[in-house]
Parts: sequence; structure tokens; C-alpha cells
Amino acid sequence: MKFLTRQEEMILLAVWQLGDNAYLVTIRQLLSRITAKKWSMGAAYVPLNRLFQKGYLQDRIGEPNARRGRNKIKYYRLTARGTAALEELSAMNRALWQDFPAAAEGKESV
Amino acid sequence: MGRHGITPPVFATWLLRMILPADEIPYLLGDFREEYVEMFSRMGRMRAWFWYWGQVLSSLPLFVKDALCWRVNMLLKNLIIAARAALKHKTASFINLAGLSLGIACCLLILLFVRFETSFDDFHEYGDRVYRLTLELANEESTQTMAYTMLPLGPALDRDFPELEAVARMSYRNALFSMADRDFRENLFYCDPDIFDIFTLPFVEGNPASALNDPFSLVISEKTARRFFGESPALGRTVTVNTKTPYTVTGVVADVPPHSHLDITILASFASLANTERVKGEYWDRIASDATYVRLARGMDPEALERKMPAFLRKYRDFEAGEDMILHLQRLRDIHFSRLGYEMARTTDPGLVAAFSVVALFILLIACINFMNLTTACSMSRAREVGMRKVAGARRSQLIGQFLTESLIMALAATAVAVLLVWLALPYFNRLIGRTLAFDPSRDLVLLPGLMALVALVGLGAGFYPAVVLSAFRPARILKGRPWASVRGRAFRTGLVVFQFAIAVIFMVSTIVVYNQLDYLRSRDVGFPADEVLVCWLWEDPEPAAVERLRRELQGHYAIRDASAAFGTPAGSSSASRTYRQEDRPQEQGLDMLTIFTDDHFLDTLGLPLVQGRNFSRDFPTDADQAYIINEAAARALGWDQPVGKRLFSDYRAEGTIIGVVRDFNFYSLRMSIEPMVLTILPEWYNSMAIRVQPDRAADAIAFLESRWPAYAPRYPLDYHLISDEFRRHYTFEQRLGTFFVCSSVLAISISCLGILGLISFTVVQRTKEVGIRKTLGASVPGLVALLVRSYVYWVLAAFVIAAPLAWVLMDDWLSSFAYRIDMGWTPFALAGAATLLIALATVIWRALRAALSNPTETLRYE
Repeated sequence: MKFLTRQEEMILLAVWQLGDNAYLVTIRQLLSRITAKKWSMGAAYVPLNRLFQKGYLQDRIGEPNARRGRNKIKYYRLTARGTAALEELSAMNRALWQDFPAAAEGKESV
Repeated sequence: MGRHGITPPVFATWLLRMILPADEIPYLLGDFREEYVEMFSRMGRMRAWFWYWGQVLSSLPLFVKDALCWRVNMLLKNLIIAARAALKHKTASFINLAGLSLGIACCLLILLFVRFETSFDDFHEYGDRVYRLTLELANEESTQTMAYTMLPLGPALDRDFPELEAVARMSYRNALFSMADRDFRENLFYCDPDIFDIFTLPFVEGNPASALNDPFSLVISEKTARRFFGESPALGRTVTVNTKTPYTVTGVVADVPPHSHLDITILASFASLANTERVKGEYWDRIASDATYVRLARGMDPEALERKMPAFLRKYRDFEAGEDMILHLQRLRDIHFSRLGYEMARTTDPGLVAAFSVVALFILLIACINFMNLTTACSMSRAREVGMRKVAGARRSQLIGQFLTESLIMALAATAVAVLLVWLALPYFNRLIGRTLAFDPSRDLVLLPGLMALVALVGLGAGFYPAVVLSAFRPARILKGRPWASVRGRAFRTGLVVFQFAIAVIFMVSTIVVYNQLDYLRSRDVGFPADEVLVCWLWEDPEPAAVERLRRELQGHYAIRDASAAFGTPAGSSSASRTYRQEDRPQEQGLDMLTIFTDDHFLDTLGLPLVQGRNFSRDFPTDADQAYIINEAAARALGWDQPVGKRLFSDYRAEGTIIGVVRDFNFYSLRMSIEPMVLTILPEWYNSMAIRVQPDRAADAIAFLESRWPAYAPRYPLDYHLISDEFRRHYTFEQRLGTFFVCSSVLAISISCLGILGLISFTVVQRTKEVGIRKTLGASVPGLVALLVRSYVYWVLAAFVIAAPLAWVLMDDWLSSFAYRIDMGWTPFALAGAATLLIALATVIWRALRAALSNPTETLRYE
């Protein structure tokens, strides 16, 4: 498996969490909320696009909402490959974090 | 919150549009806008505005970096594809590369030459304000402009026009420089001290302000200093000039670069000439061998100065009716390309530079056309690749980008090879054109960017057409196996090939005509046996008695038929033009005629027959100072049928009678027609000795001359040449032009042939199946070859029809510069046409034959 960067990993997880409503705006807002850091649009878009190019994500064009004017929405969803990568990552992380005291707590909070 | 009420900052949005990936713009702009609107409704306009700008600015670098990443990635992929394509078609790639690099190399060489020729005198600090005065002489019949002016002109200008910052005369001589142990024959310029304010000649030693103030001072170049004095210091040393006068070295200047119109190695102070016969008095009538240079003040209008010249001249000189003299100002940078009489500068015919540039351009064009045709033809086999990529979603711009990358790489490789070729060929090219060009990209700052520009020009120019054609393929057609059905522009490519061959035909015709003309000049009778006459230069100020002693001694030798002392020998450089008035028209303006001062042996030495009258003879005492012999051209110019016995008055002698008429002979070169000429005896002027040798005894004669020479001129090296060699020297330029044309036409023909080789390969691939089917149905091999080749014959014929009239006009123009010229006739055209057709056919038939001989089962196997 190819390693993902931390940002890519976070974006993949965010897309998974957001389900059918994953697009740049929601992804960025979710990440900003969880990490308590300011993610700029570019900082979110670049890894998102890279994941898309690598085939971890697929896109779907949806109708615009009221705030966007006439600009359509590009929604993202995990591909089979993206899901597989997340599963692999999670298994690896569990193995790596195995005996770390706070690991159990962290698991519940996610 | 109205739907249209809130729009994000316009300029920031524009910035985003510029930088975002093109196909993502609508979604991303939407994302930005959505958040902006949300921000606006929650926190108000100000905060939203700041937020938006903050987002844009912090995101921009990330977007840019991302975009660059993909570009580089794309480029690397394209490079790999290009390498694969090139390796797959090894022969085609090689032909392509070879043609292109030959073309570029040839173009580079010529551009180096053109740059050198146009860079003359660009190193003078005040160059844009320096002018040379030229003199236009006009009478009823003719006008002539010369680079030489009158001696008093310089000082008079200096007096009358204080606004001139510097005025200097330069007088060109040749002299003998003697050190204690060695002698050198060198060219020198006598010049006024202001010369260092006009030309930029950096002093290594000495003081420019005073170096040429005193008589008998010398300023020499570093190279000359080393030749004269070796490594020891030159300043203050003494050199004897012409075995008489000691001169002191008062300055050493840096060597003058090769792109200077004057080859300045030695300068002497003009004051040294003060007491010589020539300089005394105010000779406003006589044109001296001096050029006058001036430096204008900043902002001064040269034309305004020129307009003041007529009045200025009339102040000093009286004019006769019908006679006129006009002074012009010639820009320093124009001197190298000027064509004036009595020129001491190194000049080049601007037409030649233009011709070279045009040839360079055409060769590069032929090479580029070739590249286009070959790439298009050989990429047909890549149609499937294009189809697959299109099906897989490649956009047309991406395909064009890929093909352009490939052609740029080819151009880069070809330029690299061309640089190597230029480096190898430069010494030969220098010898061919008689220049010292340098090619050093590491030191030459213009060269590298220039080469890069050339790569871009050739790569994009030649790659554009194939890229557009190939990327236009429709995938459905390609994958069905018929890509070319959709390819238009066949006529365009045919047109290009016709154009290539037309140029090749023009080059070939020119080559043949130049060679015919040279041959004609070489073999034409000049009117006397030029290959049996030696000319040797006499020493400085020879005693007439000593010259006569030497002449008699030479004449007595068994290998020498006759000898004659003279001022003015055929094909030589020294000659005098004198003014004559006729006895029956004494009031009229005189006639200028070329005058040779010689003795009673001149006609016998050159073997010139008399048409009327008699030769000079010692039996007639008046012959010594009152007799003229004229040539037939002079008799015509004077308008006398029976000139013998008629009297002439000249500007150097009051009385004289014509005693004979000599048959016309060529004096300068066959470029010029025969001029009116006068021979007379005047021993004080002799500067050379003409010696007619026995045909097979030239070596004996030269040995004898060498053995006797020291007795007459111990310090002067013996300097002799055959007149026929000297004549030939006049044609070196034509000779070089000839060689140059041979090279370029060979190059043009071979590159064009590579081009049609590529095209026929394309046709053959296209018609493989047709050939196979025809063969199975019983077509013969010759019939098939004819089928494939026929159209090429038409193309070459079309090229010939276009090229022949153009070539005729061009060469007729060139030939018209010769007084004795060949008639072009039809042979050069027939030869060039036949040769082009044959070479082209041979190339094409070779490839067609291979296709016609192929086994139909092979070609039809996949059907």
C-alpha cells in the first residue's frame, strides 16, 4: 500500500463521514471544526484533488444550492479503492497504537 | 438574503479564475461563493470580504504549486512517449534529425557571418557621431563618389566649424620599417592627433593627448609592438621609415578588433609629412589619398552640416562651368557597406550579406518543411496511439502539447548536433569566406539565448502543423483502420514539396551559371600573355638611372625576353588618372584618362601590338618627354579616327603628340570594360618592373632577379607576382561565391530528397493494400512503380516551371555586373532541371520498387 499523507487521510475520513453531502465546503468546515484549525480552501482542495486523481474518490455533479448562484456542486464519494485504503489504514493504526494508554479512550470519542 | 444581492469581491474572483485548473473552475468558484454568502449572512459584509480575500490569497500559492506539479508530471510523460516514438522509427528519426541539424548548422554559420558583417565599427565610444567626408565629383558625363578628399579639407573644416568636436585626416601608405636587425613592410596611416577623439583606441602605453603631436611619432598596436620589439618595451624606441627618417614610438594601443573598417596597426603623426612635396601649399584641386573623419557635437544635425558644405567649398576653390564637387557625410557604421572609389576601408558588398541571409533563411525553411512533412508522414503509423489516447479521454490540447513537446525535443537535439557541426566546420567556412569568425557560446552572451530562440522557433514552427493534423484524427475512423480518410491538407504538403524543389532548382541554376562565368573569365584572353609577365615592386624613391641599369641587366638574361619599368601595371593597384585637353578643343573641359608612366620597352614586354603609328624610340629625342601612345578606347573617347600626330595638353605636361595607337587590352579585371588609356615616358614615377619571361624559364628568371636584387635595394624584400595570378585574385570573391553556392545547392537538394523520401514512404504505407490487390490481379512491377511515382514527376516539373524564370532573373542581374559576361542560354536550366528530376526520381523509385516487389500475401495478411 502507498502511504497517504496526514491531510489526505483526514480528507478521506471526512468524505466517509459526510456520506452523500461531501464537497469542498462541507469537508473544509468539518475538518476546521474537528481539528480546531483554519483550513484554507486551497489547503483542502489540493489533497482532495490528488486523492481524486489517484482514484480513491469518485465525483458526482449535483445541482447548485441557493447560495452558489449558477455554479454546480462537485460531490465526492469513496471508491472501492478508497474504502480499502481506509480499512487498511485503520488496521495498521490499531496495530501501531495497540498498547498506548489513551488509545481506548480515543476510540470511543471518534 | 436575496439570491443576487451578494456577490463576492470581483477582483479576487478574477484572480481565482486565472489560477484555478480550467475544468474545475465552476465548482470551485461555487464553493468559494457558498462560503462567502454564509459568512456574509452571519458576520456582515466587512468580515466576509476580509475572509474571502484571506482565503484567496492563502490558497493561491497552493493552487499554483499543484498546477506546476501536474505540468511537470505531464512533461515527463510526454518526454517518455517522445523517446519511445523516436526509437521505434529509427531511420525516420535519423533522417529527420540529420536534415534538421544540417539545415540549422548551415543557417548558424551564415548568421555568424551576417552578424560579423553587420557589427563593423560598433566598438567606438562616439561611433554614432562619427562621420567620414566623401566627395562626389560631377561633370557633364558622369558622377563619381570617392572616399578620398583634398588635403586642406580637414584643417579648413576645423577652422570654419568650431562645433565639430574633432577633425582628423588619415592618409594610407605602405612603408618599410627598419629596426637594427630586421625590416618589415607594413601599412600605416598618417593621421592628425584628433584621431583618438574619433576612434576608440585604448592606450596601453603613452598619452593619447600628445602621442601624435610631434613630427615623426608613431603609435603602434600591441601585436605590432611584439613583432617589432619582442617582449622588450616599445615606448621611446626608434624605427627608421623608408631607410631615411627615424620615427619614435610614442604610444602603444590595444589591437583593433577584426570588425573595424580600417586595419589599424601603425599610426604616424600627420606633422611628419609637413615638409614633403605633396603636403606643401593648399592643393584644393588635387584629390589626395586621404580620408577625412569628423566627430559631431551631441545633438548636431549631420544633414544641416551637409547643407553648409557647398558654400564652404566655394570659399576655398573656384569651380569651372559644368564642374561640381559635393561633400557628403557618411555615417561610420555605413562605411563597411559603402562602394566608393579609392576606398581604403575593408568593405563588403551589402548585396552579398543579403544574399547570404536569404540563402540561410531558405535552407532553414527547407529543413523545417522537411521536418513537418516527415513528422506528419511517419506519425500516420501513430494514428492508433492517437485514437487510443482520445478514447481514453485525452483532450486535443493535451495531444497537441505532446506532439509539440516531441518536435521541441527534436529541434533541441538537432540544434545540439548543429552546434557540434558548426564548431567542426567553422575553420573551413572561415577559409571559404575569408573571415575570422568566432563561435564560442560560453563567452558569447547573445549566442545561447539566440540558440534557444532558434530551438523554439524551429520546434514550434515545424511541429505545429503535424500536431494539429495528428490531433484532429477521429478515433472512430482510426480504429476502423482508415485514419487518412479524415486528413485534409494533402495539397498543402504537396505545395511545400514543390516549394522545396523550386528552391533547390534555383540554387542549382545559380551554381552552374556562377561556374560558367568564372570559367569564362579565367579562359578569356586579356589581350596579352598575362601568365608570362612578372611584376616586381621597386624600392622607395628609385633613381631612374639605377632602374634603367636593373632593366638592362634583366633584359640581358637568357630567360627574360624583355623588361620595362613603369608606374601602373595591369591588374595592379597603383595607377593614375590624369586630365587631358585636345588641341582642337582647348577651351573645353578636359578628359580624365588612365595614365601609365613607362619606358620604350612596355609594349614589347607585354606583347601589345600597335594598330597605328610607332612605339617610343630612343631615335626620337622628343619621345623622352613629349610623346603619347593611346589605346583604341582612348581614340574613340577623343573622337579621332587618325590620332597619330595630334597634340594633347595634360595637367602634368604642357606639350605632347600622339605617336601611336595600341590595341585594347584589359587593365584591371574583366568585371570592367576597357577604359581609355594613355602611355607616356616619365622615369621619376616608376614604382614597378614588368618582366616578360621565356615560357619555360620562369624559375631561372626569378632566381636571377633574386640574385641581383640586393645590389639595388639591399633593405627591401623582393616582392613579385605573375600578372595572371593578380587577375585571378580579382575573382577570389566570385570563386568563394561559387563554392558557397555548390555547398548550399548540395544541401538544399539532399534535404529536399529526404523530404520526398518521407512523403513517398507515407504514400506507400497508405497504398500497401492497393498495391497488394493490384499485384494479385496481375499488375507488373514497372507498372506499379510508375503508378506510385507518377505524381512526383509532376511535382518536380511544377517546381521547375516556377523556379526557372526566377533563377533567370536573379542570375541575369548578377551577370550584369560584369563587362564580359556569358550568355546564360538554356543549358544551365536543362542541366539543373534534369539533375533535380533524376535525383528526385532515384530517391522515389527506390522506395516504390521496394513496395512493388513486396509479397502480396504479406501485405494482405490482415485483411
